[in-house]
Amino acid sequence: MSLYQGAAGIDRLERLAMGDSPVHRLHPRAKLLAAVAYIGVVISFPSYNVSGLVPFLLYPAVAMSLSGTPYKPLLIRLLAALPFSLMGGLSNLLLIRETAFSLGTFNVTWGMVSFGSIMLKTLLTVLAVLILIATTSFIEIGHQLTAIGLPKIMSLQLVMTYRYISVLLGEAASMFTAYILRAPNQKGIKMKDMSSFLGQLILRSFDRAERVYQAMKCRGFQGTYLGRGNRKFRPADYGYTLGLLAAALGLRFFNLSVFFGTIRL
Amino acid sequence: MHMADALLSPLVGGVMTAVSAGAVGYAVKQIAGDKLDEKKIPMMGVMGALVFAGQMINFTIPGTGSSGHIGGGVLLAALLGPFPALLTLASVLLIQCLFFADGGLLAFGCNVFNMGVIVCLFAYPLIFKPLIAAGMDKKRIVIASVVAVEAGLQVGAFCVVLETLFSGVTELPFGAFLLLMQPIHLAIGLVEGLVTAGVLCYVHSARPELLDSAVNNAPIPKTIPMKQVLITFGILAALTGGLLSLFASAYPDGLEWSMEGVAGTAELEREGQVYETVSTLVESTAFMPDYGFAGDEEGSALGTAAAGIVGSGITVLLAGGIGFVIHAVRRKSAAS
Repeated sequence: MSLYQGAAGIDRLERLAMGDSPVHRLHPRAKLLAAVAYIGVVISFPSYNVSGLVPFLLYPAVAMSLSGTPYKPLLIRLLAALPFSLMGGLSNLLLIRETAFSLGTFNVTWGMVSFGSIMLKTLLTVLAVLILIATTSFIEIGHQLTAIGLPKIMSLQLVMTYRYISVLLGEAASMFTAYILRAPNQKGIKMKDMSSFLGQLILRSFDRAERVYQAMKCRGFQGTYLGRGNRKFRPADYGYTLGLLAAALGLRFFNLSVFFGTIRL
Repeated sequence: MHMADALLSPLVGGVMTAVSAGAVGYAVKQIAGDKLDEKKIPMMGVMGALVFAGQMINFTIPGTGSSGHIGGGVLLAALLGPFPALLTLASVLLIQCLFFADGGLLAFGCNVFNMGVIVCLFAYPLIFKPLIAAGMDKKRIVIASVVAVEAGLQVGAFCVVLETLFSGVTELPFGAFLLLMQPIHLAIGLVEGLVTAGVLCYVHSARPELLDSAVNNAPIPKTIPMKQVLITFGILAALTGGLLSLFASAYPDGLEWSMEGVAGTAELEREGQVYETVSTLVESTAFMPDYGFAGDEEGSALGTAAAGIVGSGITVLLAGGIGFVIHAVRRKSAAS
């Protein structure tokens, strides 16, 4: 991913999180806990179960359409998540050649089943995180992590890093542009130039950190970051978290796909 | 090297999250004990952002036509000290996970351990610091950076292999996986180590106090002979990177046997065993043990498989339909 794509990606998700929808209005902690519970149930599925996982698509379908989350960022995210999952999936596809069942003359192997399961799990887990970050501001997530026990300094660190990413991406992008304009036929920065490039960026960043610190001091910073007061959990928040957890657990033990497939009209 | 959720079991994810949480808690305690000067807080934030940006700058690797990027662990530890570096790396990893799906949410603990804890709490204090303890010059910085980055990446990659295998989602054999991961990361480590060294040399020549202050936080006795340390770690790197892989490929059965003993999964590709192993594995975890497995009754297995496929199709249509209806209703109400 290039610098520009990275900056644009963060900016896009940040704008999405500022939107308004029933999902956006939920308590950030409800969404965080729901995402963790959903992913936990999804990855608890055995490797040879695809049809049991398919009904889990209902959650992203409902949550994404309710919150107006576009599908495009999903492709970029899948590209990031795929290499590792694909390696695991393909190894199963190639190594497990025993036939699970036959469809006409086509033999479906256990390897294919488990490949499908790994790919579906990748899609579902990536979607769950996308829904969380596209409907909740990162600053809010940082505060919620403190509320559930993350040390203050760590959440402060998270929030500060996040704040300065766009600043430093901008700084790095202008340096990169300046470099590439002087080296038009080059794909990226030469390895031998990388040390002075990054070194220069580090020195600039240190100076910037110094100025940031001065500015924070002037505004009365004493080692803690004041967050917005925590709003209370409303019935809708309980409903969302518990409802999603119950639905996920229910679908974990009841195969909806097989149920639909065996209905005789 | 980011672990994904899809290849992880909840147990491995949970254990690694607990381990990493412990390490982060320890780092927080150490920082609090040191009375971290508040100046370091914005510094950590900005440096985290720097590593994030730095990872997006690709550089060309001479002679290969491919490109690489920095990992940043050793760099951060050298500039900030190991404990602030761990917190900084952990926040960078969380942001990568949330915004770019680079590493999963439940795999976050694994990633903090593989890329943060190993580098900041082991490779840096045990390798980097002793190697430059006798004084900081170009040669020492290069050696220390390359060896520390290599060691961090080798152990990290090895942990990725272990975590994946213990999760039991993929059937990639231990030996083959190791042979794939370790040599690749040996090459990546060399490139990353050299770039890290270059950056540190640059910073050291321009602003030597930045490096000295981080490295000299807790002075290390200067009696450790550099040669001895180098030889020890050279042997260790060769052992993990090369010999272990060779051993693994020469004796895959022995290693897989031990994996089976520990993780409870067996070699599924072995002729004849696959059905029993798969069925027992899944029967122990699945609610409907008769669903979807080729048991003795071929017909019923095919029946459930067909039901699963047809039903899955219906479910996908249902999910898509619900999504579309909600989308259409929202659009209509927004328009009116």
